Amino acid sequence: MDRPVSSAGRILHIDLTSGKIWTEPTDTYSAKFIGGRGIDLWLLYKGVKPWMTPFDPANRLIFGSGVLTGTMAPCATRYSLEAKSPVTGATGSGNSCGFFGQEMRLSGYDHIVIQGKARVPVYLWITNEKVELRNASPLWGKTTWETDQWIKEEAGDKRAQVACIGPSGENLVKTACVITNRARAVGKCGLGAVMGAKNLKAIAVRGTGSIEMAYAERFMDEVDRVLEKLKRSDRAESLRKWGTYGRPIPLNESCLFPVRNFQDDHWDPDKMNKLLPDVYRKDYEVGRRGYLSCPLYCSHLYKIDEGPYAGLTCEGFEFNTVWNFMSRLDIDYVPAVIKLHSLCNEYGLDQDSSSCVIAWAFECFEKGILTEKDTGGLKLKWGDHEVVAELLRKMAFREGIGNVLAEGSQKASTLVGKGSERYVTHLKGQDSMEAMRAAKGWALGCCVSTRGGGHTRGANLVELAHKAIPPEVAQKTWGIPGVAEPSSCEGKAQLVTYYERLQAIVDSLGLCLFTSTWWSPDLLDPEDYARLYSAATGREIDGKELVLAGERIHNVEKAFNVLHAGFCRQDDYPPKRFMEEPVKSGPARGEFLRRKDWDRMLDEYYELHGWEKKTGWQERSQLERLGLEEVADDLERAGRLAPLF
Amino acid sequence: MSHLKVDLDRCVGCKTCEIACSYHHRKVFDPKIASLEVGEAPEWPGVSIILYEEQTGSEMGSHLSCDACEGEPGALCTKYCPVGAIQLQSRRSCRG
Repeated sequence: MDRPVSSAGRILHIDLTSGKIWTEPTDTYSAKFIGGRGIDLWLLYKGVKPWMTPFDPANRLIFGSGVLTGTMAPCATRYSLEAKSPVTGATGSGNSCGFFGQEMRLSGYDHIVIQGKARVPVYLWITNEKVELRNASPLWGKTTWETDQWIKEEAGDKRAQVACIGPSGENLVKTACVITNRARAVGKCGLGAVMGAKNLKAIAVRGTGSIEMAYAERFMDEVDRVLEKLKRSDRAESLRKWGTYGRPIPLNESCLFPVRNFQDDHWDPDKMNKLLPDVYRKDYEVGRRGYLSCPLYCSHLYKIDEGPYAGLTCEGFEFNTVWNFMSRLDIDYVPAVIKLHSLCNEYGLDQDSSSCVIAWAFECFEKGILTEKDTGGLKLKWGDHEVVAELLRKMAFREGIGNVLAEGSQKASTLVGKGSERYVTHLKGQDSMEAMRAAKGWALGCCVSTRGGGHTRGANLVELAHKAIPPEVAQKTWGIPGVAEPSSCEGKAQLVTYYERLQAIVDSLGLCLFTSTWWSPDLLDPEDYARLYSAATGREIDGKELVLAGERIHNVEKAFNVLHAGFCRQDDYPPKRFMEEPVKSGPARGEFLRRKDWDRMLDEYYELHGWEKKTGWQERSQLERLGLEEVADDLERAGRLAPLF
Repeated sequence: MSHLKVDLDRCVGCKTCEIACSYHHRKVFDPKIASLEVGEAPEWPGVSIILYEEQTGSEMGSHLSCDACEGEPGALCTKYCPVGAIQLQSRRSCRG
């Protein structure tokens, strides 16, 4: 079979400057880069050159549905989004749940590549029959919720799916994200700002096509088999019951709760007890939400009836929100957490990075570096959620101190000076949201992440459950004799390497990480995904070949980062604070990231990849093994290919 | 006469039933031909489900009539609903 069947078949290109629209076949890239994130990344690599800046019209903003998006494969509901990031100057990449990915495929396109800049604000209206640039002037300044509703009403079609930006994206806020379904975000990397720089308020898709499998019955047999796996897993059951915010106490007891801008990684248990999942369920939850083919339906719906935030109804939140708007800012008022989560969605702000830069400002205020004179009279006192809400608004509209915070804490600290740099915790220029001093493998995964931090590009969740993992499972899954405790560096580089490739696969298929061995070793592994992929596309591959594709995708991201941002070994080290200040309280008190441990883990990590230890750069032989000769040539021309000797 | 009974309080709005249904009819994943359609109820966070007992034609699709998954061991919307919100009534004595 020449072409993978599970494909809309076409990539849509739109130049907003000239208005030119054209298509090309998806097949050109499918065999090497699968789909979703993989093909997006290659289109980014090929189309955006190192001398182009993130806000140049020439930067590409690329939406990609996965090969299995829109099918019955579990959680086949995600789309990826990539561009050169205005935060890191390197790979900007993320993906999101919601119905956008499915609708995009039904409208006839696997990927939508946008370049150029519209003269006036526009939104794209895409169906199987036409691609239209429509006037978005009435929408400029509107929130994502207003935009979503307005476009659907204008189209007279509630099934249209909208990916849009809020005021933050329009104002080129570096923590701006892209929102679909009012609550589903492609958060990190400032991709909403790239969209704003193109004067593109939204993309709306409405499809009437269908998605066909190469071997329909075989595909459904595979679906049944993997659904059974998801049904039997206790960890999957926990998601069904609680969503991602399920068991905060063990994480706090492992000292993985960022407190007051990382002054500690263990939160006051009395405060924690006020905000346990039971409280949200009992007093605020009014329902559940699931997206296409999702057997986990982890999303919760909330309603606030009393207090300053009464009247709010919304979908959300995730575990990240607990770190972002509880412990990080020391807020112990339950409705505030829901409200701040929603405000971020409405303004189109990534809540992870936004809460980080606000926490940085709070600590600067605490230390006397920032004063009321700088903040427009606001007192930045830990726990004051109303001040946080006001700062989010100021960031979204770049008003007063918000104009500084909108740059992210690394840049903001260079504007503020006065020693404020000391309180910044960034990775590759992007605010880092995870507490990590107590778990070395988790830390390594976050720090080497190709998208500038984040825990979905290599970070593992299994070291916290190390006691429950039998040696034979560790050997079979990760090729290590056992999973060592979080404080140990042993075998952690192997875990990171495994998850980097797995996550590239899952993102390229358009599925959710919670279906995979990332969430639990008894869930879907590369072999499971290969069986689904083969039945869907007719291209017969096994788990090993899929892992190789994952490695290839990861290597393209790495090369993009080296070429565009000049990243090397020093950019894979943790924030200084985590290497100098130990955890102050809790069971992991005294833990920090020691340089000599990190040196050793990085050496192992680079060796596993076949990258040079001294620079962290790639070697030609490894790139050629992955079929990336032209990437090796590009790196060589730039003088950033690891030397042979 | 409907073959299906839906518990809207349980429904999480995932629309998996739509594509399971289209698979039954044509072995493809295609919401526009499904015999049921999931939408938002006027009052948040409610969900609405329309069951198409007869084939309909419109600009955006042509929903095929529900045949209670004739030829399948059971209704696929029931089988794949993650929360058990859809129940197939007896094929012989269906009640709405």
